[in-house]
Amino acid sequence: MAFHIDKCETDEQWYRFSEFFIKHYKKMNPALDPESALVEIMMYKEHGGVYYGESRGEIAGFIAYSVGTPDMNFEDSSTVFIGTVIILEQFRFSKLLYLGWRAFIDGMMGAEIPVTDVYFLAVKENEYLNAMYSKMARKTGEFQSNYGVHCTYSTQFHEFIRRYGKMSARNKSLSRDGH
Amino acid sequence: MNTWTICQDDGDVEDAILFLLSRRHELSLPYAFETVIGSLYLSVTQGEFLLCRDECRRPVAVVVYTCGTDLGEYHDVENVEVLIAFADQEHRGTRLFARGLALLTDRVRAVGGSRVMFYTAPQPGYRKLFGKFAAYQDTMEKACGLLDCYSVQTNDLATFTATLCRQGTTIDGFSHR
Repeated sequence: MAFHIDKCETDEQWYRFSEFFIKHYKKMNPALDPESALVEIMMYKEHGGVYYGESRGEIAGFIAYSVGTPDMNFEDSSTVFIGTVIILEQFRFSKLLYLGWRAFIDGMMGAEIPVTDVYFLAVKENEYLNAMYSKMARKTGEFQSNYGVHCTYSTQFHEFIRRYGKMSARNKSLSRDGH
Repeated sequence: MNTWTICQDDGDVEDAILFLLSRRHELSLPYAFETVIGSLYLSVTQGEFLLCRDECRRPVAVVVYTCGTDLGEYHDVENVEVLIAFADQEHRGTRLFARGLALLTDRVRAVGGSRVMFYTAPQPGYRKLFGKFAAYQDTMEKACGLLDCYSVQTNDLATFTATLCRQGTTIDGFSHR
């Protein structure tokens, strides 16, 4: 299956991402509401970016991040905060996610301020995201918000790249074996 | 039969937002993407969405507004600012416009508002349309460019919508059958 990975740059790309996000944000956390979804879109536009993957011209998933964390008012600009990852269920065992992470890593390596740390957040009940993040980073804690219990993960950027390489290689070998 | 409702649950608000996002090429808004998303956010937090659905429950029109204004930091709830209003082309020659304005008038009164303000790109077509029921106030320089501002008292808006409903007259752009 062929995927096309791109980064939101133009208004049209941001509109397309926003449509996809509003349609699917509750898959990430059913407790979220339209207000929180719009806040996230504004945050990614102002402080970060979005890499999205398309299959046959339709968005199939995305990785959205901010440079700096909301808790630090985005002043910790050597930390990248992965705020949202949504991959449609039918593409979760494809190479889409790996291509997305590859584009993200390439983008961060070219960042103006060198990235040293990667920070992830997932609502506890989202098994898919927690399983993914725990392979890429170390769980650092849990906290309660109005939108449920959240798990936090963190790792250094070079370690994130190393783990990505390992996962990616394993994925390639699985594909070769036909699983 | 088209039915106007006040968006009260997440599903209605999502449908209204998705409707507007999907019509982005037809909205004729002079705003950049972030201003549109910011307007939707302000209306979720400081105002309301009115959504019109057709008999198959498909959205066909939306009105997005805040109770209070940016200038008054949303404490001036006597003023209601309509940020986005849009109806699909095929529904513009119907009773939809009058019904939407009537519901808007009711809602403005219910939230304690007495004045409704509209902002549009400074185009002759909009001046003709909005001039039918609101008074031109000013042309303002905003971050997105020039915007015309119109204002109408709710009592006057109520009289206008009642007349539309009684006479079945037509106005430009949005018309009443």
